Amino acid sequence: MLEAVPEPHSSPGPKSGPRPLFEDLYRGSRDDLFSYVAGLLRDRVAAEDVTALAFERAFRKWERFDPRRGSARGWLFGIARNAALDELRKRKREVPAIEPGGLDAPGSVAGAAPVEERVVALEQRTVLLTALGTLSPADREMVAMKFFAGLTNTEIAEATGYSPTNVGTRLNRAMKRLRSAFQEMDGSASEEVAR
Amino acid sequence: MSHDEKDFEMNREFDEGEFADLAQALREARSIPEPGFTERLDQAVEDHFPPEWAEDAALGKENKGGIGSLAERFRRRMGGRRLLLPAMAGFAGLLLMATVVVGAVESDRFNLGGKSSEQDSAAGPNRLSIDQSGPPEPAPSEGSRGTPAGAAQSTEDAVPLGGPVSGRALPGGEVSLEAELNEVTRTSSGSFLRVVRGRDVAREAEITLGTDPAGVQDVANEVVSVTDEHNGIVMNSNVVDGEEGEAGATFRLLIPTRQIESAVADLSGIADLRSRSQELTDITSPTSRAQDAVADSKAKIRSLLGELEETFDENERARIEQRIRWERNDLRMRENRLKRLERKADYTPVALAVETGGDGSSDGGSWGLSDAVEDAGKLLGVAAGVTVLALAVAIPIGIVVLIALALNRAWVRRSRNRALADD
Repeated sequence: MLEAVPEPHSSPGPKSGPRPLFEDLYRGSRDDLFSYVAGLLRDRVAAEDVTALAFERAFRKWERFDPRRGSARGWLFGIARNAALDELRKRKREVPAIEPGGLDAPGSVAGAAPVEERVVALEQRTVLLTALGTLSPADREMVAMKFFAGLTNTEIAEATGYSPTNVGTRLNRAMKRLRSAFQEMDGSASEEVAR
Repeated sequence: MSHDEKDFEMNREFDEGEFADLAQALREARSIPEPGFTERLDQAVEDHFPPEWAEDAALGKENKGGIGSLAERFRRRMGGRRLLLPAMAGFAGLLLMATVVVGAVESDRFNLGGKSSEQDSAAGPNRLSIDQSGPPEPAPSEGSRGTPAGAAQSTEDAVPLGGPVSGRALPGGEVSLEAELNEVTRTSSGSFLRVVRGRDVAREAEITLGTDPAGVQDVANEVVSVTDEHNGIVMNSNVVDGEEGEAGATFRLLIPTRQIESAVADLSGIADLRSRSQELTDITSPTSRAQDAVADSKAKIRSLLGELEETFDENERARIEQRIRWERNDLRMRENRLKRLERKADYTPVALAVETGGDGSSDGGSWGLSDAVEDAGKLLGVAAGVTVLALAVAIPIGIVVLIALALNRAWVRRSRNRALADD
């Protein structure tokens, strides 16, 4: 497992150098990166591929990373974004409206809450993800970076190339659209339940 | 306000503002990677993404052929062997360079061995010169001795492509030898006799041999002997004894053209061959005209004799007889000219010189330090030429590649943005 990765000083040759920093970055970003990519692609299998590819590319380019030009997370998510957009370009096929297996993902709705609450939470989550699926990829990307990956606006700006102010504007706009879509769908779902 | 402060404000807006519930719901709804995937990825990071990691991690099933770009998949496939790529490319480059250099050296533009080719400056139109320098290659000869017979075996092999062929207007010469030269360069076997079949060709040959002063007399005797063996004639000879550089000999020989090739080969093998050249001149046209002129004269004489038989007037007969005498004089001159031309075609003059000292005699014609320096200079020149040529090819290709890369980058960026816009 990851904890067994040798320390850089004891690992000679090309494997030494930036290893510990990269591993720190990996440890701190693995799940966030996957969440962002899965949110953008809405395809768990493709998200795994893109996440793995992004980390491999980051590993290969790690020596070219310049901390003076931005944060490591912003740089990593920029790589992941390019890989995800390439995947989007390549697929051309219609993506499913709801992420396959997303509801069954580990930790989706966990805890010791009563069954009724869990069912409601699952329903709400389904509606939310469906509403997210109605957004454009650009809006979805903003939401995924901000709330799935937990990036700051500055990191999003580093990853996307937009200005931080522009990121805030885009994010706000995306959230309004999402809320609108969510309320519309949630209302319809409630009516169906009431009927 | 700094970016961090802006972020803080923005986060607070999402956490406490109008989007607080939605933000919280989104954070709770985020997907989490499956443990199996994270374990495989952790292992890949731990192993520093070894070449086979993508296959081992069972990734890329969706894309058939592995994840990543073509270059990335190729790099993974190459694995540890990719270090061989630059080595192989370097080796191929060196091989190419060596091939070009050797090719240039082997061509007639460079005569390695320190013996420079002496071009016959007298070569002109309707004249074909063949220069051969350096020791002849051993080959079976028609002669009784096993002489080196580079020329006898295949003189045309020595004809350089685009070599010393030029034109010189012979008196009345109309037919160019270029066609025959072309035939010579195309032919891979045979001899000049075969090449110039059906045409009258006058030849001249020049041979320069090198020996030490003590060997001049022996070489001179051998020259005479070889000339006799080939039914040739020694027109004149001059043998000088003395120190190295002074001693030597010159010969003017006439060799039957049918035996010229073997004779030249035998003569070349008597001592160290320093230079050898043959020159061919097309005399078909003048010979043909001389033959026509002879035939015309004979016809005129026959006609005049016929007139004479039918004429009984004394004055008229005297006039005709006078004309017959003139025509017979003309006929004799024309026949002499024809004979000279025929002899030119039948016999080949050979100018043979025996030298001592100077180039190649002291070391027996072997390859020396100066030759090495000269050859090294030529090789460096060729290498520099090849480098310039390679740069001339590589720079435009590099510019095109850079432009293509820039265009590709712009296109990829644009299509990524379009991928975000479309769905």
